[in-house]
Amino acid sequence: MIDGEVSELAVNNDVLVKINSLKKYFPVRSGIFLRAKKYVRAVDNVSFTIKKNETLALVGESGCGKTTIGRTILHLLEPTDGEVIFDNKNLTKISKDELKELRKGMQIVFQNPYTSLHPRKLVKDIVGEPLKIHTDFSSVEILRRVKETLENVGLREEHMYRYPHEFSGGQRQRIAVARAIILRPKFIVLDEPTSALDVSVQARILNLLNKLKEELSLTYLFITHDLAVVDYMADRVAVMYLGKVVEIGKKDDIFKRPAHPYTRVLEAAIPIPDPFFKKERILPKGEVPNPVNPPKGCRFHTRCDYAVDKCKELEPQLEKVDDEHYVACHRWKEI
Amino acid sequence: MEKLLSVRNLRTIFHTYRGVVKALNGVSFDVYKKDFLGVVGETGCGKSVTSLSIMRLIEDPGEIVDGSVVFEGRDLLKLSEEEMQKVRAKEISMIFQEPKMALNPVLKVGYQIAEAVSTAEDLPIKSKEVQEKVYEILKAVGLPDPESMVEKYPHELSGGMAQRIMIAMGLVTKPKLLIADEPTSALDVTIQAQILHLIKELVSEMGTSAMIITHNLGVVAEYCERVVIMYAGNVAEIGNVKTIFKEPLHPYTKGLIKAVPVIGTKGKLQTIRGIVPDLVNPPSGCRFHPRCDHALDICSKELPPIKEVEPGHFVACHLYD
Repeated sequence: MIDGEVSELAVNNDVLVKINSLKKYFPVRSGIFLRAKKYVRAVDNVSFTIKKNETLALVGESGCGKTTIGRTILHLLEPTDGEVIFDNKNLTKISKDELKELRKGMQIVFQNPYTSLHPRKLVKDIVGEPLKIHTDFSSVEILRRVKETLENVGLREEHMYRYPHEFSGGQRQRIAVARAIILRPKFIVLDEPTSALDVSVQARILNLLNKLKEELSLTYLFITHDLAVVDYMADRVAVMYLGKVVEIGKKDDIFKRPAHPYTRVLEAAIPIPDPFFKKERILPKGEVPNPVNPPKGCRFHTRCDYAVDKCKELEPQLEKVDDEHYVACHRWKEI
Repeated sequence: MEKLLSVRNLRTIFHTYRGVVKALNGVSFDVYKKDFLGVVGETGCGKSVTSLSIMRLIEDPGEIVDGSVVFEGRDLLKLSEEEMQKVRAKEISMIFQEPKMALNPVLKVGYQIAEAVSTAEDLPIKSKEVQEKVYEILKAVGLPDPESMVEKYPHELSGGMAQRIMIAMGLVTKPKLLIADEPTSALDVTIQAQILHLIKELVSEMGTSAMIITHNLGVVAEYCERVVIMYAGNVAEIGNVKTIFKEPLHPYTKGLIKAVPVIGTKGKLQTIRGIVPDLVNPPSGCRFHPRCDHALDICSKELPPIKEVEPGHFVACHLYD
């Protein structure tokens, strides 16, 4: 179980974010009194750590809970159970004021820059808003910092007095990045930051994110479903399936020695823009089951080529494969 | 290789309140028999407009103003609407990005497929022959239990199943060309792999040519044999997928391929400077010249014609004059 790793790292100052048995269930309400009869288990008992200055990539298909984890870590969503420890403080146990204080240190960049920026605010107000909320800087000081931050993300001073609709997708995502870094946070959740962008624009945003990570000593949780981007950006990778982390490890472990059948299926399914790249030819079976009613035992057993009776009954826990490489599969040693 | 479809100098414009959008600026390329062709480019490059123009599905305020689309010896742009309907019914099929939006929500899927067969074959929709064909194609697209599947309405289907139904509708008439416009962009990656494999398998069995419109270079690299690279309403380069990825000629293709990380990419990604032009006021000459590091004087004056630099490899760039 990964708990061993977690407690071991708890005393380790290299860890910035630690989540412990995190659960987030969304009620499905029905009937006249809108009682919650069923729950979507978007995140179901997930534990992992993110070290200082690393990029942890979270990959999986839509509905696997990767976005929910990102938002629950930031407490934009209240966890149903479990704990989130950020910078040695347990976010689940602190007061609202303390949480507000900690929020300065953690930010998010959303997928779609067409919906994440207020259409009727000027760029200077969008980017300066975190300073207004969290600091008592004068408006002159706020403007100075906005200008500096915009330059940092490759925009210019004159862009301050424009509205979001005057910008291209890539420029808007730069504005969103500027808003995220203006408080000098330690940790940023990047929720598919380039999925809505064209490839030539994506390259520039990825370069920018790498540059900022270096300059500002940032730690990223990079949520994506593009494996080539993961390979380019991440230090470690966590693979999710139906609310569970099925495998986590260093990038090379995940790409070169994937232990979970789902990781292999996912890697085979995602097209790599290189006709000379040799990869396993596995055709994925079936479709993702409904998370309201996930399969018993290992949640992947309905689509797994290696499933045996045990997989249908008993839920596998994360086991250590190698240093920092964990997998939740009963049969990883055999396959 | 034998040509199936020849698009020549195709120009399509859209009249908007901002002015005339010159969406296609003289597009030319061929689709061969048994071809598996990818058409790739960034948002607004005209790849979807190209496919809609071939099918003559451009509606007001859009207009095809010039060019020809020769399909098996006939110029589709010159056919009457009635004749064109027949081409759409039997010879060229099209599937779209959002399968659930393309299906009629109030008709059972079995009926919708049967309708395609009966229109193409001129058979009564209730006939046994039509029904058999529907069952047969449902099995072929990997939908088990066709008897219960035909009774379903589109809202009962997952995205992947709905796209299989669309493929069934498209291929049940055994067309000569299947145009798929971003067929998997709305689907999950594991379902995307299933759908693309399915399309590839079925078209090769039937001897149908396929033209896959996509923005995903990964899809092109893994599934297509040939590729057309489009930029701002023009064809930049055409060739075999392996040749294009290994030895791209057009500066835009070079930039595009280097901008995408592949497994093992290290260091900074290369980027293309500037942004995609506004097609109301596109740059003169080669539309890529303001972003091109190798632009010559002629590039801002004359649109480079597309020419064959080696067998099967075409490029539209003055550097190769």
